[in-house]
Amino acid sequence: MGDTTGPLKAYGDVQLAGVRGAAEYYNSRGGIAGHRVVVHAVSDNGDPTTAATVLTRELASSTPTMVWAGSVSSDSAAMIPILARRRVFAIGLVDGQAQCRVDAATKCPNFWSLANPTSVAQQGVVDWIKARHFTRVGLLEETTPFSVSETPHFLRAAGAAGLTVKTASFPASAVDLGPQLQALHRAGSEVIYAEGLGTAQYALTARADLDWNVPVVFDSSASAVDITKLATPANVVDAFEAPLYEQDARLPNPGLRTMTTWAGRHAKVTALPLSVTSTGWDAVVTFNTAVTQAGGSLDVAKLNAAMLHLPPTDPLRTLTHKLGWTADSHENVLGAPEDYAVIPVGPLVNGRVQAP
Amino acid sequence: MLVTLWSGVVLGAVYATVALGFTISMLPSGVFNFAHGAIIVCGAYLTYELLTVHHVALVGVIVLDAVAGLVLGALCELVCVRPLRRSADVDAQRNVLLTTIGLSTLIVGVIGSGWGYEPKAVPFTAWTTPVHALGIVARPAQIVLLIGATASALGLHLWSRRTRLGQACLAVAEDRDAAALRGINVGLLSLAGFAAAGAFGAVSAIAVGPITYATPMLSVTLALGGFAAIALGGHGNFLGGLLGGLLVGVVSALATRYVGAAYTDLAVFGLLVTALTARPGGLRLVGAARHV
Repeated sequence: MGDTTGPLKAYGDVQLAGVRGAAEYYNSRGGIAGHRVVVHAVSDNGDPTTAATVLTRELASSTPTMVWAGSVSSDSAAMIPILARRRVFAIGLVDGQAQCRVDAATKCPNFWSLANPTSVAQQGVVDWIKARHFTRVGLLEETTPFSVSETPHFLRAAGAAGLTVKTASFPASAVDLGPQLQALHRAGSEVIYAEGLGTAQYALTARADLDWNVPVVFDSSASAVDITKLATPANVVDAFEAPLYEQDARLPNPGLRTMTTWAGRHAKVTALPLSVTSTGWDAVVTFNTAVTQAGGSLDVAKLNAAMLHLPPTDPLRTLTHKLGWTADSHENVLGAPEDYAVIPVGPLVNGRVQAP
Repeated sequence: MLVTLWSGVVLGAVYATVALGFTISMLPSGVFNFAHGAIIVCGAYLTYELLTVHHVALVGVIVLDAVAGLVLGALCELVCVRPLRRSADVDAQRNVLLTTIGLSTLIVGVIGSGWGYEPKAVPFTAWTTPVHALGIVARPAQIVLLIGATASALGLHLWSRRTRLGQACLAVAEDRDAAALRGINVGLLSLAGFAAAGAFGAVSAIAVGPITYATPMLSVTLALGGFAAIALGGHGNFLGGLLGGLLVGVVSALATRYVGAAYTDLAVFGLLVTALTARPGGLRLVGAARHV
């Protein structure tokens, strides 16, 4: 279940490519615990209402062994209660506005989220800022659901670290961040933390227009684009990014080559789609490990029990370094700030940030 | 304050350029071409491709952008406007705005399929040294865009008032049926208007692209900003479009800087409502004489 027809089709298509690629990978090796994997793809059109309607309709006619539940938070949010009620095992990228962060055994007993909690990445950036003895932070916030969801976690971590934060927001449609940078400059910001996919080029241009050499740190979403191709070499001086674990080319990730080979048969997997494709791929890889851990059983209760005892690392998994859950939290509790090392902006090769 | 004003003026020049394109096609056709923003985005991508990948000289880029824009503009008229205009159903004729929105979506989709949805940096090759004055850093593309928008508005205004073709366009804008009865080929003018607007939009992308970057989603931002500019400046008025664009840009920048980005659209909307309440026809800079 994901959006392969609506506004999030760009995401849903490559997530599905990851799922299909992993299914074919296991089928070429005799299936998952001897079971041949069949992928039945249904679009939820990227909206919660359709997701709930379509999932209910699908579950009325058949019970899948595992559901990939949603392209983004909003459609996952609609599916999680239905999956819990119907006792269907499911894996998704995110858990629908943190539904499964606590009390997961009650709220989402069969649903498991792959993504690190948002707070982990924000803590990593705050740690980097603190280590450089900056105290006044300018926060550039794109007013999109993803960026806005990051802000409270960043503010909480920054407050705990004794940092003062001045926020300047901008809509995703903005083509000029001059006024925002001017406000942060005026507030005496010593470092800028920029959230959002469309931030990098405008932030660096606006910084240059102010003749301001303040360091800028971009969040992980900016690492989906090659910032070095969007700015002149002079403009990327003192510019940093905090890529996802798998986007950081300095870190080993043996599963990526296998993932891109198999998923690449269904979609072009570079740059932006890399981390998105990984979510679909990792879901099936994780499911395979759970089935193996459950002794080959596809029983939901046994799979749920197995998920609590998966090995934290897996050479085939790509998205996160360590993955693990507790009975109380079905978010990845093993995600660590170290997975988001702040590194100088560098070129993007095959979706991974290289050393400049 | 000066730096913020400069940011606003540059943004306003972008919107004014879009508004001029809207007006070029609207005068002889009476149709608001929502796809114009997408044509500019197409021009920005073409400029990026020609300059960065194929290393074509600037003159060649101008010519190729103009040809591409001309063809796209003409296609827009032939596909989205003409069939509906021929319809006897008045309601169908009113759907022209929707068909241009549809074409805009199609163009953006094709761009996304071809170039992807990641932004591209459109280089500005004419000259690269910024001008420093009064604490402002003015990039060459910004200066060229501002001068280009102003010169285009003045030139187009003079053209529409002083030439027979321009007067014919004004006549069509005033009353299409009456103009046709007076022997004006309204169909040809409409096609030419769309083609000229397309060429203007695609060529203007050479200066707009280095400021906004080339990104498919830009088309809606441009179209809405341009729409606000012509609503404020007065339909069919080139100088009004320029003034409207600059006002929208400056108000946006000042609101963002001093109130917050959450209130930017509110400020622009407030300006629109206030201005149109006071002057329902928009801030027309030059009155038009009518023979009745």
